[in-house]
Amino acid sequence: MSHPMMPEATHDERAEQYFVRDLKIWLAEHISPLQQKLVEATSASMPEDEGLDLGPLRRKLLEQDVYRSWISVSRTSQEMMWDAVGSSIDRQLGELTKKADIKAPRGSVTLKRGFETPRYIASLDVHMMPGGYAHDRGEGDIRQGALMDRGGAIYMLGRNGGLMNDIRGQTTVQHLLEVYPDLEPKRILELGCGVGVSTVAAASAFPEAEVYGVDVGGAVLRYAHARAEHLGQRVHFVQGNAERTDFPDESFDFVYSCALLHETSKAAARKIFAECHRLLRPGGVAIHCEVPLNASPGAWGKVQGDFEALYNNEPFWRGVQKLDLGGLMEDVGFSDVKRGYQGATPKASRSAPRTFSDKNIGVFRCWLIVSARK
Amino acid sequence: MNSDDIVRLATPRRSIPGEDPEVGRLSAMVMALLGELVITRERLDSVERLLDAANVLRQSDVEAYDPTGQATAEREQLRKRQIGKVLRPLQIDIEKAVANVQQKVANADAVHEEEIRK
Repeated sequence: MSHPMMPEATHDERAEQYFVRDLKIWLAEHISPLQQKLVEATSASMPEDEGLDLGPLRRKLLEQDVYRSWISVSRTSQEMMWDAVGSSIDRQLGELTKKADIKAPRGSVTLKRGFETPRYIASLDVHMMPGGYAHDRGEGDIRQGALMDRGGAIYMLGRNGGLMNDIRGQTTVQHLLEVYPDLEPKRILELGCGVGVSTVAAASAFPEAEVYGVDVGGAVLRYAHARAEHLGQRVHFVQGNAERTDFPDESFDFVYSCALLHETSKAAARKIFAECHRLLRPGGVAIHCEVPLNASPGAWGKVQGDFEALYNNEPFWRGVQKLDLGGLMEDVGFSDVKRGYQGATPKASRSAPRTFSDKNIGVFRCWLIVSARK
Repeated sequence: MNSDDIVRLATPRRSIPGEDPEVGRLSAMVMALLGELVITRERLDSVERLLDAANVLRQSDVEAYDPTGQATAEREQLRKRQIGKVLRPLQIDIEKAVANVQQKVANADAVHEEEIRK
């Protein structure tokens, strides 16, 4: 399933995008395991106190041409993906822009004059997506959103709900239905909503609720709004900083984020948790969904984190895996915090089997969840 | 809002310590070339399968085909696009180098101007 705002691809564009996706899978399946062996062997060859120290390990690895090639080829595959998606979007940008001009909208998009993007977003183009999350070419521009939507679906390699890319959002809603079944949210907020893939998931699960999404980029939010309208969902998209929004205290029943935290920083994550606490009415629920990876202490885990930080512009990728997210929620006033893994579900439903447990069954099969009631 | 303000390259793009930039560039070019080859083969595969299913074309017909006029012009465009795609990494770096040199020249000119005014 797709939706009307999704940039389409010609025969050749589709071939190019699937090629990049398969190239990335091939690298992950055939090169990364070899690279892991190289890294572990290199680490083992070093004096005991240095083999797990990222600085000396990195220097030793960079002496090896195959290691340098691994970085180079991996990053190039990512750059090729954005180039392939970007050039396809530019061919149809006029039509997409027209399609995004909604005559009688049910929801809305509100941009903030003089909005200041947080430094951890403004200072680098996350995932090497040219322009990052915040680039905005002015009134009516939706290009960055289109790039993020189509690129994101390809990036997830078709394992997050195809072109709808919404399994993560459905899974988060499923957690709410399963663990907090009594909650009937009337006002819902997603922090770091991007193009609204997970916001629409909540809006469709609670059609009577007033649903809001907050993110930093004007072009991304305009696209998100058009996308939601074309899907028949009433969502209000608002430009803002998840660390401190403009909404009043206790104005929401359900506040959540999907893979937002690893794009922020330790200090910001703490503030976002505190903001969720402020925004929730007593009895309301906060849920945060993240990639189910545990920072492995070995050399390979460190090197992967180093690659993400330096060559995929994801500096907090490993940092968030080391954070005690449940502890952070308690620090800001939540109690009885739930921490575990929710089985990936394509469609949230009250009658679905219960899947929340402490068992991590792997990336794309489940999502890491921390949640609590205020 | 025009096409000039579209961002096409992500920043920052860190250099890989110890990597020869020429090799990095060549590697990116080879990967782009592979992409173009895959696209082309896939299109050809689509065409051959469709024609075969419709029972309209044999392989010897393709061998005997000799393009003229409009077909020749369209093929030229296609070739130019493919070459541009594969040589893009080189183009980007040359553009950067040109901008650097131009900046240096502008700086040198500015110093020269100041000297003359003294």
